[in-house]
Amino acid sequence: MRGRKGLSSVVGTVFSIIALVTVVTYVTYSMNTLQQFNQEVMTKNTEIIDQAKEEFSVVKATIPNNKFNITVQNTGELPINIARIWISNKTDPSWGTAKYDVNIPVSPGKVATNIGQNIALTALSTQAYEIKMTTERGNEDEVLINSPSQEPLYLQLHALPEAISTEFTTTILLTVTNNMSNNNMLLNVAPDPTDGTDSISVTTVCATTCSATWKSGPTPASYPSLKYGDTATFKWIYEIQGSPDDTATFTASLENGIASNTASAVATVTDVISALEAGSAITSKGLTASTLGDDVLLFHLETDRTPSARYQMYSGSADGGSNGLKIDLDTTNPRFFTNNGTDTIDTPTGNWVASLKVQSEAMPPILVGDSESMIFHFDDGGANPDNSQASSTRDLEGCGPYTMTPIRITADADDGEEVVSTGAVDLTSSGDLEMPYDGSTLQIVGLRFTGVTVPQGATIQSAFIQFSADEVQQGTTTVRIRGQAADNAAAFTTTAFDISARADTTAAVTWGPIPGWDQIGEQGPDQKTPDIKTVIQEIVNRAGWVSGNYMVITVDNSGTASGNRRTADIASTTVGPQLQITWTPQAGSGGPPTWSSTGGPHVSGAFSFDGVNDCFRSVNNVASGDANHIDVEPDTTALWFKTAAAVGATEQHLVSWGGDGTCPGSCDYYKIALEANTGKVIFSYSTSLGVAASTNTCKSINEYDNGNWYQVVAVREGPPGGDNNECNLYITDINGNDAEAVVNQNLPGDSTYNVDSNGRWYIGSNEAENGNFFNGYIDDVIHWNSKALDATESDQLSKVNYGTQAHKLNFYLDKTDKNGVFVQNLVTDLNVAIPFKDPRGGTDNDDSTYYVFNRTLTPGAVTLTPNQRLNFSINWVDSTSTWQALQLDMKIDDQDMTPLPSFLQTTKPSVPFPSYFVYDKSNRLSVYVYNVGPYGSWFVYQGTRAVFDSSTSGTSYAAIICSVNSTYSTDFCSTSTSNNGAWMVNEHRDSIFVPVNKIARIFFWSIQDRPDNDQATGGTLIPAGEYDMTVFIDGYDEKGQKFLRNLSLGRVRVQD
Amino acid sequence: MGWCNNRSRRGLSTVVTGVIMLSAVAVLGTAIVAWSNSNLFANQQVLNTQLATNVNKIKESIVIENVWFNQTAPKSINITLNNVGTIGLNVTSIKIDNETDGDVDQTNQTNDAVLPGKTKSYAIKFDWQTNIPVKIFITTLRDNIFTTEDSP
Repeated sequence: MRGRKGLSSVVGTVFSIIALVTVVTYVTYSMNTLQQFNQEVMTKNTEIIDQAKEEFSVVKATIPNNKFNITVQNTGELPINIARIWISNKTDPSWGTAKYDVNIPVSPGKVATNIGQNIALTALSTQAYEIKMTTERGNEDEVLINSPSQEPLYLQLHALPEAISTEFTTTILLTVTNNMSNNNMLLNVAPDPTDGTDSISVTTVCATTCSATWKSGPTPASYPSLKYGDTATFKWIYEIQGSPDDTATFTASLENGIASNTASAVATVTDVISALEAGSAITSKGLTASTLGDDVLLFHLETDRTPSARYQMYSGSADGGSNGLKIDLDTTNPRFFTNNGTDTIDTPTGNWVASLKVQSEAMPPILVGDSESMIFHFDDGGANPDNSQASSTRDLEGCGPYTMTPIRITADADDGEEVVSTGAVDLTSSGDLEMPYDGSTLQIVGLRFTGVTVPQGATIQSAFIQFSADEVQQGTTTVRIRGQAADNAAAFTTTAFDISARADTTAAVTWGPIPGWDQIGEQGPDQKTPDIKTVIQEIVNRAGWVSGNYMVITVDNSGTASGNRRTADIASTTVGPQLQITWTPQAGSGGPPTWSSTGGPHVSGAFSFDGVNDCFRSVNNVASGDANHIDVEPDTTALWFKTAAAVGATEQHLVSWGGDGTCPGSCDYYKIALEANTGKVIFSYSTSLGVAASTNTCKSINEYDNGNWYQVVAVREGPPGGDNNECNLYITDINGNDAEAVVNQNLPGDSTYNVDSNGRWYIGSNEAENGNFFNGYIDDVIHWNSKALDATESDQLSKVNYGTQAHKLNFYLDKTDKNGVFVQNLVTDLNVAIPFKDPRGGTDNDDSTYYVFNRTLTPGAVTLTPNQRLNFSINWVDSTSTWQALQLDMKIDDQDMTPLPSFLQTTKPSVPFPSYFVYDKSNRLSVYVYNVGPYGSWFVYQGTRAVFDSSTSGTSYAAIICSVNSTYSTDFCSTSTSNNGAWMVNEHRDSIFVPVNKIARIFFWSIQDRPDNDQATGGTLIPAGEYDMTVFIDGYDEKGQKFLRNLSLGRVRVQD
Repeated sequence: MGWCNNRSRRGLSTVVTGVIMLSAVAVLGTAIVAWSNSNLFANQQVLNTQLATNVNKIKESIVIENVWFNQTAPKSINITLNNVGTIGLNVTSIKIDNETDGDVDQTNQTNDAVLPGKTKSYAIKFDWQTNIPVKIFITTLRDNIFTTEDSP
């Protein structure tokens, strides 16, 4: 039995061993497998952890030389390897994304620079890029260069301060916060350089002029990097100038930013005094209520307190009396100075204007005072040019229908009645004229008009006889009107049939039925015949008709029933029958020439003549002894002309006088004409009816009908009564060059020297106004009735420009020190042409003959420091060999000249230019102030003072306000009840209300070194001398806001 | 009878029995060991394979490095992936979903092998809309799915 027990143990052991081995094998394998798996897991975890541990950032990115230069910093604990760069162009989306393998290792804490320099990519600093850098472990960092364009950033713009005084600076701050949703860093953040000129746009709104002047910025120019959540700040500094309420709006955006992503800020100019913002602006009007703006520097005739006793220039009303001062600019080069003051004065950029009131001299210097008889410059285009010598008898009118002076029958013998049946003629006993029946007696009425001044052959435009009703009649009455066909109707006689036997005109006019005559003495349309021009025409057409002859008109029956009639008054100075005739010299209406405002030789007004029937004539027949008569020598006539075409077969008259005899041709005449077929200039006159022996002619050698301008000076010289009756002819071209001179053509042998030119004189036609019409332009007609111009005078006259360049001046605007020593030239304006304006005989003090000449000057922005002056100078430009300057006068400081005499207008100064005011100590000191607004104001006693700061001693003086707008002229500071109740200002009473746009006059107590309202208890009175005066205005406005205004009146003279 | 010598007959049966039992144990033991070994071996292969698969799966790692929205018609999305793992992988599919209208564009890429440290780019036609994000799913042969989301 022991044997079997041992065996079972063995078996069991074997089985145990087997089982154990099996299990161990499994376990071992499993553990190995598990370990292996765990190892892999741990490896993976390590990779993940390492990936998470990786930290790096792009700290800088620039684009120098069109290559990226990126700096990356390893901010983690593990080394990294920058594997790739991804670059996309945000400005040009079509660009796509580019990938570049770089493989740059970066140790922990270290930086890698110059990344991107070696990649094949050209970058533009003006474009925006998104750059992504990826590591080997798959991490990435993304930045934006120059690119806030993906979404709007938070921008703010501030003006600090927002409300500033003029000439102060404000700081503009732009804050940029990176609030991009993708948390990207922004690199190279900068204000948009296309905004304005300094990466910020500025828009000003000015009441007059204002400015925002860049001082600095943007600072910094850019931010290299802006992380998410960070804020960048850019700064500008601007100086603001302007008037209260002027604004400057600043707008900024980012370079490559979204277009709508902008920020704005507004800076406003205000007057801030004593740290309080006042609602109203009070400006100085100085010691007088000058209505001039601070920018108007009037020229004054006073010369005290100016360098070298030159003229004053300041913003003060004219005070030089009713005539001011006339300055002869051709002999005097005036200089005008502002006063030197204690303030710095800035004027912004803009146009200045020199506004001069000037008067042209009518004649060149050599001819001044030589009493020209007539001048016609044709500048104003009137159809009836007036003689510039202000004598209406020498005016012109356009040719055209003449209206004969009505001729009234005044003599009994010039009207009569003839009985048809018996022929009896009654000239004197009948007290009326019955047409055609006197009761039942049929009769013919004869009317003889004396001195009918209608030229032979003239065209009758209209003719009427005006009767006056002698009785009231209504019966149907029709009569026939005819004329006597005679060259010169004889006087009526009482011979039977004297009236009816006369030859009748063929032409006849029926009048009737004549309207009823309802009132005795009526001389109206009912009593006026129809137009009988055909009758008159037939008479004047007669070869023997001569202007001034007698004309008979008859009135007989044309079917009137017996007993019917119209009864007219007989000869009388007031109610006698009156003949009215309108006529023209020939067929056609004729008329004045055509005016052109720039048609003259020097771009001035001139008249164009059509060569058909245009002409001018004197309004009256020229009377002997009249200045436009010719009479005896000497005479000179000058004019400019230009032909429109070559002269044809008919001579063309430029000017012509006619007189005794029959013109044209057989009369005394005086003319300047263009020869037929040649266009040569003829100057010809006859002293005896055109007889050859009495005719003298100067004729040019050259022809002048070529369409160019020429001046003709025709001279009839020789002493009166002398026998050397000579003519001279000077012709000059437009450039002042002598074209020709024909001199000394002696009158052959006639001792009669008088050209009896007692008709009208003409421009552009012959003296009969029926031919020789000129075709072209005529200008600047001048006639001397008693002077013969010599060659020198003629030459000077020919070089005068009566148009746009009659005078020339040089203007200088300089800055000087207080003594007038030159500091800086601001403007030099040379050879400024001044146009001619006809003075029309005006005298030196005739303001109406002065005209305004404005010249714009552009000195740019000007700064006058204390004790500097502005100096404006005017220099004369002398004549040249081809141009003769006319003298020019300028009027200054004329109180009566409207709107103003001469002045210089600047741009709006920052402070008023100092004045030259004078204060007389014997008067109460008063200062005018003007409430600019926007609110009405009161002035108070406490701080309103006038301060005088001595320029020489160390003592200053002041005065206390006493009243405002007092009218108590006995003493504006009187405390009497007459003044006290209304105007006084003291510690218990403020001033009256001063509305907007009103001037207030502030009166002060005596000026003392210890100011007091009682001179007896005050200090020493201010001595005479020079002081810098400042007025301090203390007050408050309607809104309850206080103000303290100081008004600098500049240098003031105090005199005893 | 006699008793003869019974002690000698009892010794032989013990030996035979012992031999028989040892033989049986040996045979059984061998058989068991053989069976367990073969069983273990067979399972070991499976386990090894499974281990390798899982380990490889763990080793796979993709980073979708860049997504670019191409606005040139027809619109597409350019996707660049980076194999940052330590084992090569095969991309089998890319799926894009804008999660708004259910529009899904799926491209099957078979056996697109990407070695470790290498990148692979795809241009997928897709009508993307501005400011509407898209999800991108990249599936590997080993059934790893890597996702990202981006917005044009």
